[in-house]
Amino acid sequence: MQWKKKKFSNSIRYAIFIYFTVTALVAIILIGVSLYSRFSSQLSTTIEEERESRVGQASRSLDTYLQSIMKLSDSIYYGVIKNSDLLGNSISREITLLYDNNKDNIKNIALLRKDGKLLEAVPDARLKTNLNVTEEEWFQDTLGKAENIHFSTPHVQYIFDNNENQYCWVISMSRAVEITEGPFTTQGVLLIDIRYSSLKQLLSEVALGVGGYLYLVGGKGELIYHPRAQLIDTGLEEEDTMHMAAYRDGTYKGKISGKEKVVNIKSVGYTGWKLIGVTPSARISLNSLKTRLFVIFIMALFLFLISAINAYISSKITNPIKELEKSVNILESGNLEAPVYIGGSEDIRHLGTSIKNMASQIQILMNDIVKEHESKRKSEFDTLQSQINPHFLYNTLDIIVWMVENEKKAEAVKVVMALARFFRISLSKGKSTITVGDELEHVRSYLMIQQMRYKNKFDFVIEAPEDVRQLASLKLMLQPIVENAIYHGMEFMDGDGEIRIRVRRGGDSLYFAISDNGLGMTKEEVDRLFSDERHLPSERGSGIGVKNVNERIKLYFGERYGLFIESELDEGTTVFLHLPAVSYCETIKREEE
Amino acid sequence: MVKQERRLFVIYGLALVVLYLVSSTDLFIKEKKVEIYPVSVIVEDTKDEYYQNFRRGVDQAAKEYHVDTTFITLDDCNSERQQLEVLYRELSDGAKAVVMVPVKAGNLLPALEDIKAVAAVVLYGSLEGGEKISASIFSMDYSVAGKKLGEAFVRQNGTDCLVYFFTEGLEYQSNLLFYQGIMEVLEPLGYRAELFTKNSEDTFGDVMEQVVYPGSEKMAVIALDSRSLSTVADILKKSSVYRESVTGLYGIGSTLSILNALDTDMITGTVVCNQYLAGYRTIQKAVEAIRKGNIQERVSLESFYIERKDLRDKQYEKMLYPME
Repeated sequence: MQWKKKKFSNSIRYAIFIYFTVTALVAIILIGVSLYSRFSSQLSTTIEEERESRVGQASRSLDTYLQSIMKLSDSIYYGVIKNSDLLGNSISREITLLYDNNKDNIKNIALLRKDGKLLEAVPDARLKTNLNVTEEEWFQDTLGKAENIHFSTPHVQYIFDNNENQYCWVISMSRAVEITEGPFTTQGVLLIDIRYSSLKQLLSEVALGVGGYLYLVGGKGELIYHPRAQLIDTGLEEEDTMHMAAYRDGTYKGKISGKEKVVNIKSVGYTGWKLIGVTPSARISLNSLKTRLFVIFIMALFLFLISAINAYISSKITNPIKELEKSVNILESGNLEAPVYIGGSEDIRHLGTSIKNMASQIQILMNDIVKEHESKRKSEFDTLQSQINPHFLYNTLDIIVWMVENEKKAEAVKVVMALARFFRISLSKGKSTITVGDELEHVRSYLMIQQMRYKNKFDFVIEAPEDVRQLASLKLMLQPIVENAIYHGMEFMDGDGEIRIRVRRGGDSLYFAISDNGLGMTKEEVDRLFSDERHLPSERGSGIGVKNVNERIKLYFGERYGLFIESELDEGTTVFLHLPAVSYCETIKREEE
Repeated sequence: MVKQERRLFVIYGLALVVLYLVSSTDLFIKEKKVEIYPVSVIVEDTKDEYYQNFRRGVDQAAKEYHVDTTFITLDDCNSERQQLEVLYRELSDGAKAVVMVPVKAGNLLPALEDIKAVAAVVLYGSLEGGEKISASIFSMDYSVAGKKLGEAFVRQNGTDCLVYFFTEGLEYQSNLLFYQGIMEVLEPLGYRAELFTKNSEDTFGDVMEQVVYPGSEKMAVIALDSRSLSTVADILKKSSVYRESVTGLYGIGSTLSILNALDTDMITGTVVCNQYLAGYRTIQKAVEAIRKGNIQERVSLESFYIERKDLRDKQYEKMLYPME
């Protein structure tokens, strides 16, 4: 699993995918964040401007509203009062006309002489009996600053006797006027009570979004209108009107009552009032959780699409490399004839062609090596053939002559036949392999001849079940081993020597065991037989050593197979040969191929 | 594409779907839904005259807290039975909270204790045994209010002045506490006092008729409840003789008629509390109780003694005459 993971994380495709995706992610984040910031600030600016414009519009409306009241007072003063002699004349009708046109906004119009006497009141009303208006601050201020028009803060109208079940909040506008009464001109006060409800309606209609509100303060910070004026008065709410009144017109941002807010301030003409719009900052930005999540969703969606495209592109690039890698793996496992993938881009195709050529070249070289090896082996066999000791042949022929001279014709015939069989099998039409039966027959012939030569100094036994006789064996494999047993094991025996050859099959393997009861060998002597150390052939031996037989077996059948020796001094030696149990026919077929 | 990679893409795709649902639907992050709370306000009177300012506060809070208020007066003034009937009717009609000005504490408490499991309860006014019920109780401290009036009375009237107390009954705990508060100040100073309880519409008029006559002893009237104060003010208004004999009329309450009487010097002084604030806060508390359950709490409303000169005072103007 760990190996798989490592392989996955190290693959070219993975690297390409990661590089592309990380690059895309960085780009998406940069673009996303910058666009979000830009849109957010743009939106905030737009909303702020829109709020500012609404506050400005409200200010203009209020301005117009107050202008209309002031125009009304001008009309009453210049159009009615100035042109009338109030001594014995009533101007009630003229004022009523003007009042009727404005009665939605105006509660009362009253004209008071400077001594406090009510000259006219529309609608008709009388002053409260226990009230002396000359003692009222607003009355004194109006006469004191006769050139100004005075606006009060909202208050309950209290100077007139009213319906007991009602009270009315008003803003009083007062101005000093000249009153003509016969030949005399005197000062008076024109009082216009503006309905607070009309002002409230005008300002409450201005919407500043959720959480936003508009309020109106006087020049000294006194509250004129506030949607929650009543709660502010009871202390349940707070509004820093004094502080705000000190600001100039404009837009300000800051903490109000612990919350970030945007404040638009606009002065109202003539009165010195200030209209203040308050909007929570959170409401004029894109900073809602859902909007943020949506931006993240869009970025993630783009990343998803780009990742999918990246995965496709990286696959497109690396698939030919993978295919080529598969081909190389097959080549690496030894199958040089496997087809090599050639595809993909020009570079990969070129690489594929190169690998293909290289594999062909390796194949050629391998074939050369095999051929060379084969020829070497052949020459070894040839050498073996040619090395059959002439002395062995001479002695054998001498025995035959001796037997013929002593009338031992039957034995002579036997030896001649054994010799003939021995040479026939040695030749075997030049093949490398023969059947186990032939190999045993060959060694039996050899042993018979040697037994006669050595005057029955030893006995030999060959044990082989029938089912192994048709299996394949290397030619001249046993003879060198038996030769060694005779020359090195039996030579010094005195008639009780024994050579035993056993063959058995074990599953897919074929085992030969050649044992003698000769002198045996030390472990060092055994090891030396397998070493590269040059050991000269015995004077009478074939010269083909144990090592040679072992190498031939391995060369022909593979590294799994070969020869090993068990030997003990004065006890004897057993040589084991391990071959695959394959039929001779198959071997011949393979050899022919 | 390897299997692991395909699995990652599927997981990523699912995460995207979830992110979309979170960011663009109401499945996970719900937009704040405006819940409308039905709240019934049940007073003990047949008219809402005494609760004008209280009602304005209720309306303001209802607007801010999304409350659908029903203001209910009784057919029979101070009828406990009827008030209970109205209470159960409103609950069966789905009121989630009840703001009550109880007639009398006594018999109402067990019923209120019963209903508090199904609706939030907020009480306004003095309530004996209020500590036994898990509800918010808004009330003026009538004892303190009485002391304030008593002290003002002492400042303006000597001990030779006879004090007549007019009331609808001392069985109403608010009247009793107010009375006790005044007497706590007057009694040690040796003021002589008489208590008259309203038995019929003419009770106060008859008393005035009997005790007030030209050249009679100086006397002052203290009304222990708003209705009595209005009634006595009306009686004084009718005859200048009464006004000559009565050195002062004091009481409790801030209805428009009381304030007008105060403005015309018919009433010398009255103890008031911010009824607008009381109305606002009872609804505020009712909403809180709907959301979190009933809380046993007693909120004392501050009382003020005012005279005519205070009517124009900015401190009291908005309190006495709430803006429309």
